[in-house]
Amino acid sequence: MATTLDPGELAARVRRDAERSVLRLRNGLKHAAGVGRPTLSRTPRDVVWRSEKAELWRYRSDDRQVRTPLLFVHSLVSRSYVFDLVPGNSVVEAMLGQGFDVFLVDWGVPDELEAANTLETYTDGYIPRIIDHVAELTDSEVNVFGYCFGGVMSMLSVAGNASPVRSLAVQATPVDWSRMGPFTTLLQQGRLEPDQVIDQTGNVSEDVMLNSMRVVQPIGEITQYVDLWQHLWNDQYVAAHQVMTHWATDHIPFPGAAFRQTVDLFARRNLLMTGHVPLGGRTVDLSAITVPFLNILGEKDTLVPAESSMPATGLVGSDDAEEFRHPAGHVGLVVGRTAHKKYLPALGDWLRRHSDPVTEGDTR
Amino acid sequence: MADTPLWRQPINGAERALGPHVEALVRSEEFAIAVGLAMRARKAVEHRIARSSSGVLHRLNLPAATDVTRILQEIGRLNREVSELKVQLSRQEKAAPEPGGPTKPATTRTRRAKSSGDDPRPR
Repeated sequence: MATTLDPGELAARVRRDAERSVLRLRNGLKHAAGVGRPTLSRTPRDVVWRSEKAELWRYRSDDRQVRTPLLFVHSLVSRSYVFDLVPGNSVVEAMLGQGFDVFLVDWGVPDELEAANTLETYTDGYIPRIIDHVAELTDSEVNVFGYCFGGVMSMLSVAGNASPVRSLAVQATPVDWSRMGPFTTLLQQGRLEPDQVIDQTGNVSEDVMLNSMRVVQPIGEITQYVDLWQHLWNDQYVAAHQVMTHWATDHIPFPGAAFRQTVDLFARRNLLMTGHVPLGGRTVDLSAITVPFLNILGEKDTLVPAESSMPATGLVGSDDAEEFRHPAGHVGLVVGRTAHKKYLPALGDWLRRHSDPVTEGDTR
Repeated sequence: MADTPLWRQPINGAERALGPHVEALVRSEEFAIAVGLAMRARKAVEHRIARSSSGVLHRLNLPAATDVTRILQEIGRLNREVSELKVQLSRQEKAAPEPGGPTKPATTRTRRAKSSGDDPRPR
């Protein structure tokens, strides 16, 4: 139905569009020149453990109310600063605000030295050692939170090792690999062999990782730029766009040996779905996870569809296994206004229910 | 939507019309073949360049990037073995009885998983 505008309203609209055009020009030039990019990862932290390129960062809460610490285990395909983007949009800051002491594992950027890292390097090597170290530092069992592929590694690590874990939460974690995107399908069907995508350093390069994500939403990038153009007058939108596009295109290489195993065990044999994964000379049984378990899924997640993550809840042996479903995408589960208003407080409540409160005399 | 500018409407229309087709394309047989061929071609070109450039460098008695890569990968393997040994040693130290002290339990960490000969790790 055609609508008519009165002259006053039309003049206001023209004025607004003219003002926005000026702002667009200014912000467009700033964006193109890379000026005014927000500084990332600003929350104060200490490096409390280091082994090869892997580091464990500790963030201390000024208002610690929970004794049981929270350990974030990040994925192997992207940078860990997604947990601490900018003030007001930082998972770390949000969890500190809820009274947790937070630890974050950063795997560093793999090169030739990490090319032979297997899944066991992480699940039976780094992660149990890190959990032990956090437990020693805080004199407490640990709440472990695995994000994306970090969730897969955390589940295998907790199932295969007797670590001092209080609870395990995983988010956007691929379990049913038959539900993953086109890149996984190519590997599943044998149209692509792992050695075809592993480069001379022995790893899967960051370009291949990025392109494998791009094919999931082939026109997503165009839509992003159109959205940016529409909101280019809005300083806040531009800043958020810069942060997110920077992270979303800032991938890291995937260690070659772990990639070969991932393709064989998960993409081709879909063994996570059976609950039994051969690792390190024995079979890791996911039902050995008996600590309280939380599975968080994004209903709009296109990278790791909810159908791929859902089975995790039924595979663990925990009597207390819960599922949180949020109407969000892969990153929207941790980043943005809704994540900070709803999803992270819900996570904090669940973790608090499974943690000890701080008592008088707790200094660690 | 009231706030959607006029210029955006045809773009949204095109996106709605094209989106499913492009998504179907990346899941198609033809796309799979194209990606496979592109990856093979890229690998072949990289291999050929590396072989010819390392041939030249070796004739001049100089190391090539492939040699450096091999050495770094070997250092990586050694690093990992040393780390594993350190962990085993510290576990044994924790488990060992202190001289003159009470005997500690034999292990502090147990494997809950079943043993199997099916080790998928690449050799």
